[in-house]
Amino acid sequence: MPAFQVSEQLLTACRAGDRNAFGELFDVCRDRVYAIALGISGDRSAAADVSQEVFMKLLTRLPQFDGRASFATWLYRIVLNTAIDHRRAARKSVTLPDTLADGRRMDDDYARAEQRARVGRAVQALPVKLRAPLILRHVEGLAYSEIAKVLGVSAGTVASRLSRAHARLAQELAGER
Amino acid sequence: MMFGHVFGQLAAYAEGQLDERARARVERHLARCSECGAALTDIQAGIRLASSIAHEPMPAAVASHIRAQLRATDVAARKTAPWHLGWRIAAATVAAMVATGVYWQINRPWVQLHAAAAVPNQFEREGRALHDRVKSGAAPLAFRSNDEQALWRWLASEGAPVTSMAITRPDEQRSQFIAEGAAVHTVAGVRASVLSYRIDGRPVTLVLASSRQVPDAPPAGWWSKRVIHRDEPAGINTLTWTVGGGTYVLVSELEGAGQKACLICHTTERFSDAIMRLSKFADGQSSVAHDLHP
Repeated sequence: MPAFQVSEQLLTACRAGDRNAFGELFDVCRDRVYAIALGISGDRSAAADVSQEVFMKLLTRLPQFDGRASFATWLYRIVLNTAIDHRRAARKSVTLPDTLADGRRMDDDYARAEQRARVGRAVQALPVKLRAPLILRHVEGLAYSEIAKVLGVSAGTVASRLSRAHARLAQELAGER
Repeated sequence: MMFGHVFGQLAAYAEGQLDERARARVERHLARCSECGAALTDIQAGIRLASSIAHEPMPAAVASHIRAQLRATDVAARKTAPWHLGWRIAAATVAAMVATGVYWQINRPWVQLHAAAAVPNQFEREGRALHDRVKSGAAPLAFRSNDEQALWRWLASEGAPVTSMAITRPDEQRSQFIAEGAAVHTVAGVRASVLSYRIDGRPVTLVLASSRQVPDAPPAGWWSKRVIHRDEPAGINTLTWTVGGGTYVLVSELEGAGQKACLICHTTERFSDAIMRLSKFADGQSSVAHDLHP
């Protein structure tokens, strides 16, 4: 994903209640929000619900955004927390979907699609503490230091969690290497 | 198996997220640790697998639905805004009331002058007697100075009660308010600060003690500074009150209720003007309230 840039001008207009500006902000952020929500929830329907909830929160909370963290960091936190809360609230085992497989590319060969589906299932089997940095790293392409800011932990903790996450992923999918 | 060693840094190492020094440390460890070497192989495989996680964009139908919801919610949010505003106004009102209450309790912007209706308590009685003893020299002033601030500083250095008010005498009052000295005496069994003045050439004595220690200290008054006035046929006025944790007896031979002596502490123009309006105090009237913050 390209670097996430939202101009201060756009944020100011959104805070002032400019509906068109908020529409623009929605367009800038929507794919990222959905991708993270999907990565955490592992379910398209849940990702859609989470995305809607995130943008509703943005609508009401944006005036409170004080700029101490970057907007991207602030948004990632909202998405992660909303997705995690949503998953907890659902209180059901998530359907192990093929959602992390790239369903758009219908010309992919069957084996690759299957592999993506298995990776998706393995990611969903990870505890959220390991899954969140993994999604931020591989879906959003954030640096370890940026992930640390989003999660409110040290970069060393992020590195440790990602080591465990990657190792578990490899062990779960030992036959896929 | 994998915890310890440099395991926690292996993902960062494999993804090039370590600085040069940390990377060199990991490499030195990997050179002699087969366990971490095996873990690195796992982690590198995990990274390759995780990189296949697809970034799936929001489906157009979902985007369209959320956009519509946002438009509707935007309107609803505007409609509900007055509620939020209402809560904010309510919170601001409560905060203002609390602040006013605190300010009022500390500053007592109203003063009520009560004609004494009961016999004086021990602190007032001994404070009144101390005025005569200071005047006659029977109760010596331990520290003599015409510098008012020096008197308060001396009292503070003695650990005696002092006012927290800033004493800044206006030039036009300097010839009327002549400080003479200070002392620390025991009044009604309590350690009390004593200040002696001559105001308009007449002797004035201020006695101050901690209200917690003064037996039967007069009540502070809930909404106002409640000052008890007692006059004597010889023209001596005694004002007694409690405020800010202190109980005061102010004895003077000044006109009216002797309220001009209050300007010993109330040196600001705003306060002194209001206090001087107490001169309208009429004989026989039990209480008069004056706004100290006109």
